[in-house]
Amino acid sequence: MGKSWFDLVLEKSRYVKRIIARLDVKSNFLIKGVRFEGLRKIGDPASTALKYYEDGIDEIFLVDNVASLYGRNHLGSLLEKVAKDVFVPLTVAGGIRNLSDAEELFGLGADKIGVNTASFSNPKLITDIANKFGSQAVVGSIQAQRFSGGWECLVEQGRDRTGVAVVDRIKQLIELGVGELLVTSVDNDGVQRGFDVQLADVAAATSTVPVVIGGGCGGIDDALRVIKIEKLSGLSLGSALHFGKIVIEELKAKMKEESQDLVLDEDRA
Amino acid sequence: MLRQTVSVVDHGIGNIRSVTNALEVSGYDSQLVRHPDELKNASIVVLPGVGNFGGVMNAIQKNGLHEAIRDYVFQDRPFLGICVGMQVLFQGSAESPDSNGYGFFRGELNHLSCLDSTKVTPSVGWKELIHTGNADGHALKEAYFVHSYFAAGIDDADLISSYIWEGHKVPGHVGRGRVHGVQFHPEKSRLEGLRFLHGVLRDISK
Repeated sequence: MGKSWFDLVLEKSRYVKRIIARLDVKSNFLIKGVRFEGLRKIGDPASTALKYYEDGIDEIFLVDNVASLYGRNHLGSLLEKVAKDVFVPLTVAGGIRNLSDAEELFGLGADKIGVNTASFSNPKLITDIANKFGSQAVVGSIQAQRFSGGWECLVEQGRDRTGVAVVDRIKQLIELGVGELLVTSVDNDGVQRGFDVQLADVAAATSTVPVVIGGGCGGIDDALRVIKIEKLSGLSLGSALHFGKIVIEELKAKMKEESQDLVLDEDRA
Repeated sequence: MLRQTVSVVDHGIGNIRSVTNALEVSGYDSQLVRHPDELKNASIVVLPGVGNFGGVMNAIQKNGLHEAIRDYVFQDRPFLGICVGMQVLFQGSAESPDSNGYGFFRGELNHLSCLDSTKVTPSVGWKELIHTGNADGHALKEAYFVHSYFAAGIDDADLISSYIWEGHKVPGHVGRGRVHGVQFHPEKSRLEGLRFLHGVLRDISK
């Protein structure tokens, strides 16, 4: 039977994921560490965001790396500047403690707010933001560390353990009202040896909202390894972009190619 | 060339700033509307909106803008609703059964899970658009969507473009006369989205 044009549009892009640039920021510098530690200054966040936008990035995450430590987010003026030039969705995370922190950031041009640390002690934070701005505006950020038999959630940028299993946390966050999850492997972060594929697999299978996997991508092959996970919605890239290991346009072309191959393989099977 | 001014309804919910930033780059000046009188002399109105159907309707009501927007729209004056700003142009939404929409377009908003309950929602990301209606000079190939509810039971004549969500056709852009609505976010759809914004506002205000 002949396939309609609708089917073809659907099929060829089935495995194409959103590519998200993650910019960790500390006192107006773009920084990057390894396993959330040993942070190095590597550039200017505003001009880097603009460059990735011009290169074709799908979304940008701005993360205030020291915010939760000092109890507030400092990204307001950076966000305001970036939002004037960059017309893709902007997510801001780090140190958001209450609805008014979130309101301020939405007013400056944020499309979504990412929450982690504060939402452990104050789960109502998620419900408050989702009630006012919608679930799609709240990203539940999970910092996952591998332990025997699974993964545990960390807070305070990977410094503190919580004793909460990642799979349980995923269900909890969805119940509280997040519309999306960013699951970052603390073990693989900054190492550039590939995503934690198993973590991506388990998180996507557990979640009923879109999941973005982060931590460890070092090149195009690493990215192509996880796009086979059909339910996975996006890839978060830090080091791979900052250190020039991935050219966005090239990754997108490869992803489309690979997606068509995967669909053809399924047809043959 | 003189820049036209777009009146952007500011109901306090969501990414109003993203919309005014995008208008600025698309070649328009913008002016925030918080009072019904400010709609009287408006030449183009944009209603942004994220989140909850009832939340946006209530916010408009609280501002006293509800009737002013209805009058404006039913007079066939240049109007673009974005996301929930488009949804309120329909008759109602399963998301907020207690709030009525304007009923400018026939149809109601249903949850995407009605189409397939096994799939992930909200639908988030860049989607290829299929144009079936007249998009004049403002068609765009791909746009950024983020939504859980979709317009169902609409008149084919009102449908300009759609995309495919998990095998189902979902409206992307609707329009009749000078009143248009988009489920996607042109203000977040790169240069192509800004070009669309420029083109659609130009075409509806001719």
